[in-house]
Amino acid sequence: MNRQKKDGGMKITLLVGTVILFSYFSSEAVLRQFVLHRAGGQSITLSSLLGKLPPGIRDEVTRKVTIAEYRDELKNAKNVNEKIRISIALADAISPQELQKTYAEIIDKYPQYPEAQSAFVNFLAAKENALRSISVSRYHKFINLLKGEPRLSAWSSGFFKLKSLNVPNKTLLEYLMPLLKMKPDGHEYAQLYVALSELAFQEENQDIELKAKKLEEYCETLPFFSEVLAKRAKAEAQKRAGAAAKKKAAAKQQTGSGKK
Amino acid sequence: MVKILAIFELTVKKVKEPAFFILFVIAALIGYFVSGMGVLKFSQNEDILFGLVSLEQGSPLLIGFVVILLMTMIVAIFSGATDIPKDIDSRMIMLILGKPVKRVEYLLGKYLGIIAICLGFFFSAAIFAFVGHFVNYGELVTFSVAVRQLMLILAIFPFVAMAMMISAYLSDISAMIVTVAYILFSVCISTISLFIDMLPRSLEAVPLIHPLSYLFPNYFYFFNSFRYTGIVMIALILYAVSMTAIFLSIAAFRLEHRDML
Repeated sequence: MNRQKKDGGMKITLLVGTVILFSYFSSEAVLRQFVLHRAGGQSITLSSLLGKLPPGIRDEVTRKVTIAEYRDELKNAKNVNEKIRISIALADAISPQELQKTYAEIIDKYPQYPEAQSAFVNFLAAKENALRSISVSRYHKFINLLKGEPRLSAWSSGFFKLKSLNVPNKTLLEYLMPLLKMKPDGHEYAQLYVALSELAFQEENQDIELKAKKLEEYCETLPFFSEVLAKRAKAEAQKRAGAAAKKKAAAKQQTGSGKK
Repeated sequence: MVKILAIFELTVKKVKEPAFFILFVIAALIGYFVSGMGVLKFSQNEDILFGLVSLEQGSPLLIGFVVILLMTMIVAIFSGATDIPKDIDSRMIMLILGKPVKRVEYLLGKYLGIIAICLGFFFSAAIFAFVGHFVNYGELVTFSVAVRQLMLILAIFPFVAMAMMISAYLSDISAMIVTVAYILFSVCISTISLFIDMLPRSLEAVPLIHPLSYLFPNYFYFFNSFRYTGIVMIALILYAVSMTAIFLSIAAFRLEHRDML
């Protein structure tokens, strides 16, 4: 009888203990979230805290925080495009060597994604001791996978990369030549055609020079990509507003008929 | 229950001493003089405390009442950390436990008695603070603002229990020193743990600090402003109650196994 009483007491103590601990941890979690997740407070406090650190430590801590933020983002990446973009940013924050490694990995694993552009540009006409080397023709193949603004960006980035490497005019010309067979879709292409016509002039190739100038003039008639994007965004916003108004009117009508 | 009340009465009787009379006069004076202090506010960009205490919602907290609470906490340290060791040193505890009183009942009676003294101090100061506010500004403090100030007493319950838990292990002076050290540690760990929560999860320091932070109470939570009808209010009460229960359980366990001679 006494033992039974003792066992019962133990059980009650255990139960009460569990309830107390559960209450403690759950209430603590609620209060913590309340402090942390109020509007706007978080990042400002963190940056102000970092701002109070001595400059030497601040830079290192900020770097570590940035790397950790990218790691968290990478874990939560929803698609491959996002994954590529974040991996590049993360590698860039870690070290230049890590960035080269990541670029090489992206070229091997995801050569068909527009986000791989910076990796392709990085290894475009790279020296033999680099982790990868992308030929002009391989880069053209990559450009052909792109559309719209990313395509223009790839053309421009590649061109400036080759220029920075001081490649001969012939290589630059070879790089820009496919532009003659392409129908440009943005005003910004004009500068590439200007460069092409200048190169052709220097190489004394009148035929290419004339074609490039014609296409340059055509580009002048086209709208800028930024304008097209702004128009598209405006149209989408109007469409959304219209749909919302329609929905509201329909709901109003329904409630009106219901009252009748 | 009667036994607990008897111990409670024995503890509260101390109030009749002249020292306690002076203490309550001091409480009244503090209350009156802090009544002119404004609302507790932290600017978003400058104060680190902004990250630890949320003051954006609900009724504001007045600085005067924060001062009153801090004074009450000092009283709680003095009485909470010294009462049990004094009883042990003076053999008073043997006299009490020689009667049919369980050690847990003794602890609970002592706890309620010290709580009553602390609340007495807090309320005397609070009443004079409200009077001072009326004299200074010619208006009464609104009901919701007054309730928010009085809710600070929630912090006193776990605080006294914490001081008593430490006093169950140590002598009176040591208990007071360790209580103060524990509070300072709690403030540091709570600050670090909350700031670390703002950092990305991948940072290696995060998993280390979190389990550690559960060993220290976070008193910053009691200074948050919130709506009385929300979940935060319930969580705060639950937090105070559960912490009190944990501290008292540890104290009871120690008293149960301690040699009182």
